[in-house]
Amino acid sequence: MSRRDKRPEDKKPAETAPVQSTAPAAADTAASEMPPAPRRDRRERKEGGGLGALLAGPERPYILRLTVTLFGISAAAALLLGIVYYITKPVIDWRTEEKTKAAMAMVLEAEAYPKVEGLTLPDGVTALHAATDGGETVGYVCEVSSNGFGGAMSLVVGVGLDGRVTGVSVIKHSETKNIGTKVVMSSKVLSRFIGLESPVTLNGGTNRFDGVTGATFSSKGVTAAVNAALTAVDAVLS
Amino acid sequence: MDWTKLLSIALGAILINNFIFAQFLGICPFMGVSKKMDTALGMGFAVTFVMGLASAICYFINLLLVRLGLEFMQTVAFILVIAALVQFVEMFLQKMMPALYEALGVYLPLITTNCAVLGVALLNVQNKYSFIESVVYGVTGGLGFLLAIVLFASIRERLDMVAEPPKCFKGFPIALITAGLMALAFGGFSGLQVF
Amino acid sequence: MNVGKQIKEGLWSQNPVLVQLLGMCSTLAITTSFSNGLGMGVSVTIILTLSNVIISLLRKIIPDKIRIAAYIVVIATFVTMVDLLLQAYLPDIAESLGVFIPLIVVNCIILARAEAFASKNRVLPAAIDGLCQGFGYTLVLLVMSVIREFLGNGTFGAGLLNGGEGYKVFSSDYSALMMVMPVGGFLTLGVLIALMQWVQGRSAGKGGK
Repeated sequence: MSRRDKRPEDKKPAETAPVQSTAPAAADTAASEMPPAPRRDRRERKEGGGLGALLAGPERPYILRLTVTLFGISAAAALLLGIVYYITKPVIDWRTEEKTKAAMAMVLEAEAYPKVEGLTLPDGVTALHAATDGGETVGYVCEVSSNGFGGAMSLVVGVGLDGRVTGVSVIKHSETKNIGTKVVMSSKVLSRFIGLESPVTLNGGTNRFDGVTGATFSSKGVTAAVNAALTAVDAVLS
Repeated sequence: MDWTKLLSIALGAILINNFIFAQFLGICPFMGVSKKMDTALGMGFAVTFVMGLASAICYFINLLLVRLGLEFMQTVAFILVIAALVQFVEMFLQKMMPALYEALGVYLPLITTNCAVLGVALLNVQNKYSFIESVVYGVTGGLGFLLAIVLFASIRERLDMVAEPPKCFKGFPIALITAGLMALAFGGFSGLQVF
Repeated sequence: MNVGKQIKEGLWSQNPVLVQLLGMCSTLAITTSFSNGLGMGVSVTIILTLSNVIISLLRKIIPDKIRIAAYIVVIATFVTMVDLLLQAYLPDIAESLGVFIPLIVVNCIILARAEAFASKNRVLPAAIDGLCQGFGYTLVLLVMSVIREFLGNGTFGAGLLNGGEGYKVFSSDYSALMMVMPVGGFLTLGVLIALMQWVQGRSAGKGGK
């Protein structure tokens, strides 16, 4: 076949499994960089009939074997994964919870942080929690997400009952090291937000956050997040 | 439909967070297929198509997994879906567009192991994109890959023919350094915020 | 089965990254700090060895037509396992490696070794092959991480030493930040492969025809 002559060094014999198993149809792949290069058999594909012909024909036991093997491997895999998931899930959940609680404690210390449901939250605020000490609300903590220089970042903003910021903490970010991180990873810089009320302006005005030179986008992102949190809490307080 | 968000996703995928030069997804075919312009072009289009389609299908698969509480099966489910998808695309091309199928040859099945395709499916989940946003990200990510691979191929053709680097740099090393300089150029797009 | 030969091949003459030119995506993306390089290298080694073992065990059972799908299922399973275990017990590493952990599934090295070695050899050689190739990969990751981190940050051992900050060799005010950005990855890997080709060229010359 002219096709086979033209083809460059092929990497793998790639055959199609003609049948659907639990996993979708078998892949017909070839890793490009592999040194040994057996020929690819194209004749089978061009000649044979369709799926129907194969299922009805004398090759049926072979196809059955393909299905059963693939199904068996997939089932074993799923079982193994299920077990590992079952073991690790409580640990992972506990870690996420601890992390959020620790972040919230950093911005506004309280006993518990029950979530406030049924609110329409402004853009960026993912959750609003009331910070309670012995049942009494001492403030609010917002989980906010906004865009920095390197992409989305998640923050936790604490707002007191007076509508002023009690603390800001960045949980997740993709800011550039030594540039953006001078804003998002520095508790000293983030503490500049404490005591400010809505709306916070960047680098100018009386109610301002002094950003970090060269990290404008990171500063902007954090300011936007804080403002969103302040708006959300103001709505609850009024 | 939030057009500004879609446009900013598109701009991000093509220039600011280019899949090759900023996110390092899809390097293997990028290095392997870019020796000639026509294969590069064909591969770029094929990858764009697969990425868009994969984004769409994996979005629904993910919905199903979340409904069943089986998020941890994402990786397994996605890669199997992608493998099947590439298989079907190959069969489709063989019947409908045999010329393109010939041109791509052995590179079409390689798209299965292309980090970019699985990467875009996983990133869609990570960024919590809606269906439209996922497809846009998939297609424009592929276009970014296309842009990168076409630019690279145009340089590499001449690298192989005309340039005479030191002997130990011939082949991959000089290609990688070229890619590095291109990454530096694309780095100039970071921080671009039009929308 | 010559273990010495396998070790030598995995680490040097058939090094998966520098000679076989596989697994570049992760090599370029991950190597910005020592702990990232180590974490990824160890993860890939574990997954590679485990999948080599299983595929070797099943090599007589898996029909030829569906072998790629079967390999992918096996590899994806181990990748998800390692992902879950990392998230549970080493969350910092899991976070910094990010999306590249699930991407280990399409790391060409694992599929290539499965196809080229594990499916054709017995379990013990396959396991050793996995370990050796994995060590070779880890070695390259570590070398690149150390270079990029040193030139880009002025530190050594970030993520592990000195409480996560790394031992500060010189102030980051004097470092070339571009080394920890994509440019640096490409340039470093290019130079390393050139170095490897130079050394191999010389030893081939010395050895004669």
